[in-house]
Amino acid sequence: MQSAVDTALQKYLIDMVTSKIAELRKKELIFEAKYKYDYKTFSQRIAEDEEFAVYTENNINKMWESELAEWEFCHKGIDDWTKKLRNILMMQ
Amino acid sequence: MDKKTSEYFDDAIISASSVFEDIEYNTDVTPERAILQIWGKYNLYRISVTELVDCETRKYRYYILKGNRVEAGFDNAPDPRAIRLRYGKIGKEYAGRHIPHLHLNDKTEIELTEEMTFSDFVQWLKRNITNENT
Repeated sequence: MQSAVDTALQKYLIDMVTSKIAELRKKELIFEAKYKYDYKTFSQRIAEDEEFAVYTENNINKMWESELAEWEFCHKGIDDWTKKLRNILMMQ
Repeated sequence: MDKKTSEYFDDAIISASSVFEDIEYNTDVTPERAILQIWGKYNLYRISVTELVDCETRKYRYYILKGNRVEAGFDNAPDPRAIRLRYGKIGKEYAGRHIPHLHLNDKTEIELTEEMTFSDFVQWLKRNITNENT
């Protein structure tokens, strides 16, 4: 009986974490399409290239800083949840 | 989300609810980080707030908008213009550093600031954005 509960709980956790990863990836794809870069490339370039920052503000989003924070949450959040998923699977 | 971050977010939402109109907010967490986004109105201005917290840093964006114009924007993003103001030049060695700064006049002006909290931002807003500005 306890084993069945544990299995059900584990399945629930796996479904939840998988869903979170998919949700964050969906949002990240929107940022990638909007800014035409992946997170790592964009975040590095925007911090080193003043002309690129001005271009981004004039042509894509004047408040790129806010979306960069949200993008970081999505990008790094995928890693966070993937590690969590790995830990859950290792408990099997 | 740890207790300290949870309390910080709760306080920010309560404060925003009392100061702004038409408030909307969103929070999300992962095992390592948490994000809070708040949108609202203050007089004729739109307010946009983002807080991203992990175990090492707190990244904030506090923006005051009139239409599409950025009247003022506090953030600690690694903006190359803020990096140049702080270090005298832009370079890979400074990339990614979080530099507290303030954008003014639709982001045509920038100045360095102290680190801001949401509470600091609300105090600044009350001091600097009055009905006379609207």
